[in-house]
Amino acid sequence: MLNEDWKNEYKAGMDRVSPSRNSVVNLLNVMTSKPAQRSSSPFNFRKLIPFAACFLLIAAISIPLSKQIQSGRNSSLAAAPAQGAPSPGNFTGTLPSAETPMSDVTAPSAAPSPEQSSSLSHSSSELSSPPEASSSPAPAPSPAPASSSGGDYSELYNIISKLQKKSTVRAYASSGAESSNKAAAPAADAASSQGYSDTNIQVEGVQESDIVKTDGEYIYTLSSEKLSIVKAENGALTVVSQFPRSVKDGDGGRSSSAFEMYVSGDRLIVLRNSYDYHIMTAAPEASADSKTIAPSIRPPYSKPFVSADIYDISDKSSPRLLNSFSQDGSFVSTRMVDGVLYLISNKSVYGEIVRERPETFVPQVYCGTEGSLIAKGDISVGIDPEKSSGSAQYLIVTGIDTAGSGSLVSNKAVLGYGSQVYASRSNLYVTAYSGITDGSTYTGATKLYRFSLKAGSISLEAEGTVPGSVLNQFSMDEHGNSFRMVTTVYSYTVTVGGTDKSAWSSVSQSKQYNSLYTLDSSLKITGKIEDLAPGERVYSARFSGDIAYFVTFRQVDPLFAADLTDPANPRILSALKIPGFSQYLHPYSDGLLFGLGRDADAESGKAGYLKLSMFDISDPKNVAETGKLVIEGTYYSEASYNHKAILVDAAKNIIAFPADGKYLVYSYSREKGFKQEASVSADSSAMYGYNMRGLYIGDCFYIVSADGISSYSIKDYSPISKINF
Amino acid sequence: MNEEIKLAESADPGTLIQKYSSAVYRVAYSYTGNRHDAEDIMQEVFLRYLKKLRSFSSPEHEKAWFLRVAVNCSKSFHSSAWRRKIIPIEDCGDLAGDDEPNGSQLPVFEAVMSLPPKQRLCVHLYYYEDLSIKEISETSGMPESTVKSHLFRARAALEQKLKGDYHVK
Repeated sequence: MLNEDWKNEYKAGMDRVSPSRNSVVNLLNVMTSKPAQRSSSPFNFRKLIPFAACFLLIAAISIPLSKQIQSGRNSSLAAAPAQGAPSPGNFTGTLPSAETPMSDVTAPSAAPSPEQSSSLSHSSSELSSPPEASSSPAPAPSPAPASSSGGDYSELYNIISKLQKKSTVRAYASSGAESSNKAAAPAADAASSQGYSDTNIQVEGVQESDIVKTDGEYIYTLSSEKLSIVKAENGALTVVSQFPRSVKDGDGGRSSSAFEMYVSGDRLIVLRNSYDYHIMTAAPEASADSKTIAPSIRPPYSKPFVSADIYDISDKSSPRLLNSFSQDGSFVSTRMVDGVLYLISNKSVYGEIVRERPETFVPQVYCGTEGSLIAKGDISVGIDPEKSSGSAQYLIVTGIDTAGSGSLVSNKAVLGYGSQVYASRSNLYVTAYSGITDGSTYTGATKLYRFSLKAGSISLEAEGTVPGSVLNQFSMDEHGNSFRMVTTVYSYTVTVGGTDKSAWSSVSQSKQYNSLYTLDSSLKITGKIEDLAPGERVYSARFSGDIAYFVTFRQVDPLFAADLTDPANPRILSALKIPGFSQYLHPYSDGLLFGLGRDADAESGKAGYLKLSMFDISDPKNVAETGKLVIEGTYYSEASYNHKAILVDAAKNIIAFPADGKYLVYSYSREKGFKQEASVSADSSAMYGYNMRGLYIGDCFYIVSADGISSYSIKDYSPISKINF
Repeated sequence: MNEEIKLAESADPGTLIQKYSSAVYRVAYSYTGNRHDAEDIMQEVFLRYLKKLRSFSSPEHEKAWFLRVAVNCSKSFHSSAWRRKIIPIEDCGDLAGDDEPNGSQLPVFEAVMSLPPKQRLCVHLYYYEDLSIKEISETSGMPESTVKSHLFRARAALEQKLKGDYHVK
């Protein structure tokens, strides 16, 4: 057998191997669109025909342009005129254009000769500044040519080009961060007071997006192909309006797909992954003076962005698009505080970058179809950019006020990337994978950024690094001026020996343990407990005021309770060992903590059926499991790793989640323990309970799946009504 | 457009991709050892799913299906003549997207990736996906004895590589 350390190290290595977000979004688009797909067998010529036709068309349009521009630009940029050719007018209203910042559309009249253009590019007009509080939804004319401002970004250019050449340890953004590995619950059950339930959130007052939303009268849901608005009145269900979830925009190759939403007053905010397909027309390494667009047909490369479309839903039967904001990069996460949306994405810089064309290496934000480069002053390169990131990537955070017709308040970019996100009402914390090398010892670590949030105005306040990696957003918490986190630390020592000719290395002293850190507002570690539960990892965590609860696991489940009253001196209060482990923890009511997890064999540690636990935490020094229920025959619940899939409401005494093709509802009482109130089978095509959500409005309970919505009386869960999409 | 949307009817590609893309990709990566091929294989796997629009009796069944198809696609990918003759991989370097991170700074990961593809695959399924020998046999179509022998050889090779005489540049 491989020893445990090796196994863990292999897993750690493989965990870093993730499909690029590009490829995943690409895949999504291939599935919902045809013309621009990159077939898995790319040389099936039949599949290439539409593609070639598309190319020829674009080439035909753009050749005249490119002849004029035909610049001192490296010919690899021949692709740019091709992109620019479909002018902004070609885009229909719903989607912003990615192309406008490029000067190609406006530049041709200048028609500089190749010799002139390079000098011109340093002297002409200034870079358009990011749209401050722009509220015009109408596509504006192209901004001032961005290509002229290369000088402004020279320093950045140097850094990016260096980073691109680096091929050492690469930073990575963990995939699936947005949904696949969050596992916790809402901080407070604010829902009860408003008479309906909202998406399970972590921090009171900080909204999180989801596939199902309600405002107490209507249910908004994203099913396979549609976004539906459904009136829910005492269980009666009426579809009020529907529109397609995916949009394919013309032949230009933009496609976008809605993935989550927010509802805020009269505003529906639809988050979309968008993708532009560009046809590479020349080899990146082609010589600088080629006069024609190189005719080699290559697979398209695609450019991802994240968009937030703001709809006026005062008339639910006809939602009206007010504005659309986008930013470069692939989706990391979002939050909403007091109607202000914070959109977080990662952008990788790939392909050739050109000093005179900042759009090749500076991230852009788009308001409607109007794009602009993020101002130099809003881009932070960090103290040591090469150390801080290791690869040419940006973490981009944008604040969008969704009131009125929506306005872009501010944006910030940092050289680096983001993986997990925790937000309080006033601060946004973003983690990134990192590592600490001390002599021959390597320790996995987490890089932290803290951005302050003031009504959409974002500023990068602090950076820090702590040993270990975080499981998900629930491993982090802000309380007063203290930031706390629980991590799993993996480290090993490499011994190198031998001579120059036959060097060898061996790994020894690899170890894994868990730690708790408290940090101050500058993200310096102020207190810590390390070396907890060696060989195990964190399965779930939840902070409740001054107490941290977290679960580690290998064979049995220690539920730790730690006192953080004095941040400089955190201490463990208790460690409860019971079989199995919790993957999600949720404060239930005074003195109770609910856990959803798996039962496990106490001998082998092999995970078994789903298990519900209720812990009595009224005395954190003496935590006890006061109730438990093993759900025989059921192994899988989306709620195990996506907190948005579970509904926990102590006031209504509801614990509800999808599991193995059913939707299950439980209640809990100290006397009777857990009691199953309802078990509703999903329709066959409802993906085994995946993407199912439950919510209540008044005295009705609604189960929303990809197929439709069914309503029940909350008293006895007798069916009331049902609609299919 | 309606027609395009119809293509994906009765399955939510987004859901499936989120759920299985990493697992499928990692299997493909363990077999091919590079991200370009792994991404193509991942795409092929999901396209196959869409063509069939099959249903599964349980999540375990669903996952097993994706792993099995990922293994099949990885194997047939290697033997695709079109692929081998026509695309020089390095030409696609800039097209595939983000920098691919991997565990290459971890000696064990590196050592596993230096094994022959079938050994890597068995190691991956056994240690990463926690499949039993029997399940690996079902997933990969190799007899149980072959799986055992791949695992045995892989372990021996890893011992060799990692215990003392692991060469570094």
